[in-house]
Amino acid sequence: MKQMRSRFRLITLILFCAFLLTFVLCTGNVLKTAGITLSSLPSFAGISLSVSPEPSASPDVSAEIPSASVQPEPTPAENDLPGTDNSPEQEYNTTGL
Amino acid sequence: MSKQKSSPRFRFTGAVLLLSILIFLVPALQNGSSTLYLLCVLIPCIMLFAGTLLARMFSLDRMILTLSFWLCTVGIAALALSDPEAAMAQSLRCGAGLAALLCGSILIRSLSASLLTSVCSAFLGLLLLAGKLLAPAFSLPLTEVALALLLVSFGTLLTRQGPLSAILCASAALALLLFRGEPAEALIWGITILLLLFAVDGRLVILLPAAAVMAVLFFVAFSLLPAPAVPQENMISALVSAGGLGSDSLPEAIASLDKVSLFPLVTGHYGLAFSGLTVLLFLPFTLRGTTVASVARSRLHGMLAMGISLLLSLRALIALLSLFGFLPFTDIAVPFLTSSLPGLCAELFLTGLLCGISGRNDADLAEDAHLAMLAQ
Repeated sequence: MKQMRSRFRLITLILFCAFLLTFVLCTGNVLKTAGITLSSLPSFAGISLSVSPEPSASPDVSAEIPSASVQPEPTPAENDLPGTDNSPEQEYNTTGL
Repeated sequence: MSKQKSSPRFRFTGAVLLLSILIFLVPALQNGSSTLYLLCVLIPCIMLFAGTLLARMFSLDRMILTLSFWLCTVGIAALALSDPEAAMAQSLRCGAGLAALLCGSILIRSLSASLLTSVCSAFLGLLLLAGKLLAPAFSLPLTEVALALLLVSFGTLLTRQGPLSAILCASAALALLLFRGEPAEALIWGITILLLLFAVDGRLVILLPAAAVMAVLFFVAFSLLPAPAVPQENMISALVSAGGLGSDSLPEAIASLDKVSLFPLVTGHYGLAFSGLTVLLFLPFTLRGTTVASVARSRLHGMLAMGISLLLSLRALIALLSLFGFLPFTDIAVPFLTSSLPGLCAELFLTGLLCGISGRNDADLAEDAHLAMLAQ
């Protein structure tokens, strides 16, 4: 009887995991069918660019902003991105916060 | 102490009652239908009556009872928005299911692991499954009723006669299900049996041949499986077209679907977020059922409680995976969200057995406490 109860607990754990897995799979399928992917979320893309620790980590940033080369005062291209209005301090960038 | 214990339970029941009033009152105010007003009064009253008076009279587990009633209410509400008369018919079906639940809770108190019980339930269950093969005109959907009987038979045989006779009975049921062309039910039954065998008798000599037989049967069944009538891409698109919050008017893709499974209707009217949360309620239902199984004093009750939890939760999982295109089945409904009277009655009968086992556990614990008090 004691062994049966411990196996019951194992089965409960399996069922719990199966429920969570099913829920994740179904949510993923719904998002895929609706055409929502991580790359299609602009806020996610903005966050990933603004927190990059080094400017060289995102080589295609200047290509996405063609007006950066015709500005009267040349500034680093990453400063035109949302959330990076102030010139970044070195300590800030190295911590990656 | 008792106040602290009972407070969350009453809060949960109160929240369910409030939601069940709102879920009918809002469309009733929009449509002005007298049937919806009637449902708005009738269903919370029945829930309150069953959750308090009947639960106390028959020592039923209130959490399982409230969860199953809420799922039934969601099924009725899904029909109420588009067709109030169909919702009234569904509520009558749920009333019949409530009677089945009470029958189950009474029956489990007198059920013993006798040979007569196992033979009678196995004979009836196999006869119901073989009925369609013997007489093709017999088209009542009694598969779930048969599975409920066969689960009782399997439990009593495994407890009294040993694993061999139980495996024979279960394999016969599995073969009949596959011959009837119901691979989804066969899959649920097969996994339930294997897990119960593992729990009760974990020897590899028993488990491996049983798993091999089931694998061969499933290979044959899936190779003969016909293509689904509704392409599954259409089903997923229909569900996604409902959006996150749903709408009063059903999307055409959902309205054209078969009305036996009410889950697409719930999604169409109330949206993907609400239907997802509703399906998530099967998780506490299952956890409560497995807790009842672990606490049960007798082997038969423990096995039955675990078997019932497995049958209902696996049905919910397989129905969801089929609806979202991961499994090739189309004719399986989420438990309690079905408009089939035999299916609903069988599910509520199994819930009644589970509630009865929980009540029996409480009685055993109270008796233990009484004996301990006398010993002091």
